[in-house]
Amino acid sequence: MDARLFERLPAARLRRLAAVTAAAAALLVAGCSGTDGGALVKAEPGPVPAAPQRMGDPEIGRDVIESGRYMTCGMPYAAWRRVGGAPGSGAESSASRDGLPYYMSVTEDERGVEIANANCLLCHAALFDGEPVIGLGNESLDFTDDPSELADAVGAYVLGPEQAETWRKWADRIAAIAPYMITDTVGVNPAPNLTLALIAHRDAKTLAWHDTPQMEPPPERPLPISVPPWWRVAKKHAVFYNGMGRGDQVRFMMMKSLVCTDGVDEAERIEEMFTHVRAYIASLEPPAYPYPIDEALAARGEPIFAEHCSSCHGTYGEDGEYPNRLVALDVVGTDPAYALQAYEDSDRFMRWFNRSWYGERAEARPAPGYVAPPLDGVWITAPFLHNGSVPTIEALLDSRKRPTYWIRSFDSRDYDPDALGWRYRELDYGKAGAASARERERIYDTTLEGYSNAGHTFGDELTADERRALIEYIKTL
Amino acid sequence: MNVSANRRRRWAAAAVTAAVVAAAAIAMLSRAALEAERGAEDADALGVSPFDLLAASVDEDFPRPPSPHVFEFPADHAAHDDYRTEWWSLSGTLSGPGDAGQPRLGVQWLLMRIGLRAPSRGEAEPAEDRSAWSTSQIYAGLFSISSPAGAGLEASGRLSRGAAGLAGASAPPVRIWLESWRLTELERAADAPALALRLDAEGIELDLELRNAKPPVTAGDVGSPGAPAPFQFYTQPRVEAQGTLVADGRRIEVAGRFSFEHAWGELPLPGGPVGTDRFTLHLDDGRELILLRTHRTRAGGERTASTTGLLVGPDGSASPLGDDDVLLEPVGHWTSPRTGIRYPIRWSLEVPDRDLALALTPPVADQEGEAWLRFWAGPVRVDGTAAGAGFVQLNGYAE
Repeated sequence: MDARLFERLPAARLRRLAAVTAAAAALLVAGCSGTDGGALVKAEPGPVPAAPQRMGDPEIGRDVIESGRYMTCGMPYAAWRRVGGAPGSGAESSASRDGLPYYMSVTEDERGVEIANANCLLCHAALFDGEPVIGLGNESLDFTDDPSELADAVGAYVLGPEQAETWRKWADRIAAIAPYMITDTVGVNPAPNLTLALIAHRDAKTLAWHDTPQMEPPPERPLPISVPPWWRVAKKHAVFYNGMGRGDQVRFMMMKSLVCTDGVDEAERIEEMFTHVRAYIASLEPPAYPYPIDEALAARGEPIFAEHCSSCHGTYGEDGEYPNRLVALDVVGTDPAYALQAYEDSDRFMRWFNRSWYGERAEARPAPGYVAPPLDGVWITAPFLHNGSVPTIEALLDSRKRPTYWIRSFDSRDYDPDALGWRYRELDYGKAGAASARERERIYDTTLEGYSNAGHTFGDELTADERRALIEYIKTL
Repeated sequence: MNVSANRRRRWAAAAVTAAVVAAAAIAMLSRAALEAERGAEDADALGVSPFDLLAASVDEDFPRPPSPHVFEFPADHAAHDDYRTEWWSLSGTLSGPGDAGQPRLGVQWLLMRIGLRAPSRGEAEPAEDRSAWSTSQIYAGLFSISSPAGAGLEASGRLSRGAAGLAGASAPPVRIWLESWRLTELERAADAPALALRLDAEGIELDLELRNAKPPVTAGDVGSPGAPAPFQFYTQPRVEAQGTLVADGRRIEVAGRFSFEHAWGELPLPGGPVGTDRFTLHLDDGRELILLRTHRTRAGGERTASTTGLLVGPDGSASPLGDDDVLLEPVGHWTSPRTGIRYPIRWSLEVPDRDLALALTPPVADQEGEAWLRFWAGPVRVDGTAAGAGFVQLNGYAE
């Protein structure tokens, strides 16, 4: 607490504050995290303890993702289908239900206006070899443009006062978060930052929306995030790369509804749906490597994995164990910006979460490190590291091969089955040297803040043969 | 390619450029036909308004114009009936004797076609059941001209069927008409085809001969590659006009410059929450600036705006301009004594990369479309690092 604040407060208020603080501390000691005081505990590196999770029906969860009313505001469907989303208008709709692309859902808002929204699968499903893989993080989305321009373009197609009101609520929310979600680079995701921007506009207790931020918003420039695959969730004791998402995972997973959900009643209705969504996510299995595997070579790689990787990433197969280990920044050495922003510069958001409705069952507990993820199906999850800075496993395991500046096609057929990752072209210039805006957006420039490909050099000490065998084994995970 | 969401977003950028030809005019047009006092008599012909027609057809799955489109002229001047919406627009300025070449009269003619049924259903209807009056195409038109006598705007709207010769668009030869309003080809000379424009309203007859001075700029010239916009368009940015205006029995010679625009596909719907201002500026150095400024009031009352457009060089080469390239700010307002609506009518316009710093000043403040109560459309004088004349449409300022 700011010392000057105390100087301005009358004594009676000070005493109440002190009492609340003491109560909060007492509750903390009792192991209860979501308190009125907005308690904030920071985690230390080491094992992340398990937290009980609620049961749900995966099949219901799948239906909720496609057609559940968890987004209660959105684009008027009639306008959206004219702007660019008419059924059957694109090749992507071949993988859809009711003629919609799989990543779009149509529901109704409180006025009864049909609304269209991107559903969870926009970011949590992606094409591989031309086919959608549910749960695979989409590393090809482009967040480099201002989404409020898209919102206004949709607005030009809105018809009648009811649709206009529906559009206005959605467009206002998009406009509020737009400055915080424009990335430098195609393929990286701004979701954590836009979530913080939403929090800044909401009352923690009532979830009411305020048009002006109620706390200092996050920095405008989002740090780059690679969307992790959903099938890791079943093994994880905490969500988010830095393991800050402790406790009940449902309340983190439903935070997409922060865009629209303005009250606790609605949040509770969505929570029930998301109990099933979490069950669905936790039921997902990773896709098997679809190309030939040299079994003998893979067998030679297994002990190398056990020796060099398992202590953090666990063991696999029938009796596999995953240690849920939070690794200190100075140990893993990967780009620290994301973890440090949450650990050092985001207390207001963490406290908001912990005193909010969301914090009743869950807790934000940032840490100065990253959780080493489970590696099930890791072959398909390129690019690698939490910021997507390394295009292949081969480069991940040999830091000398990591490109400082690289560009890829964003074509899901452009997979390199030997290097385990996306084919890329190394450049001798970064964004500053790009010939066009289009090229600039597509260059992954590891010299930019938050984009570093440093760290995780544990594979460097291996011989080329060992590395070959290790990669072959990783294909089997 | 897994960039489908990406493509939609990309489209936004292309669309705003393309929408230079779209939103403002349509919104104005339909508001015009919709306004109770004035719209009723026009709409009576069909018993419906264009707004109703669009709403009724919104569940129809019209196809999108293929992208890229290979433009062919004059064939593409004609109607593209397979698509839901289409419009043709001529707008510009005229001056008469004694105006010393300064723009005094702003003129616009908009013709909009609305398809009621997707083509497959239209064809399914047995031919013997159809009368000469039967149609799945409705045409709506708007003509406005600055009042030759001074302040104010003369404006009228019409609705008609695309049947029985009442309205339509065909080529070659080019013929675009709505009842007595018509744009027709005068001669088919290879180098400089000329068109005759005939418009009338109460007490006004305008006859102009139009000559296109530049090649058309098409969606393909300015769109972003691979972005499937839901419509196609082209613009003829510089059309030289001269002819006669008869107003209240007085006949004067007039001359000026127009731009012609034509778009088809899924065009923006009228009456929406996003206002649109459109600027068509003809510079004396041979360039044109065509800008679309979208604006709206956000929650909390903040007014926000975004401007995109085209800069066309003397040789006809076109460069798209994004919001970052253009600084367009209102510097003077006028409040209508009739409607109380406050319009931004004087503007400061800068395109720093092109060394353009311009002031836009209307010779007459009152250019509100009084019959329709919702828009301002008039000429502006262009001064600054370049001189010229322009036509400005302002829409969406009613509270």
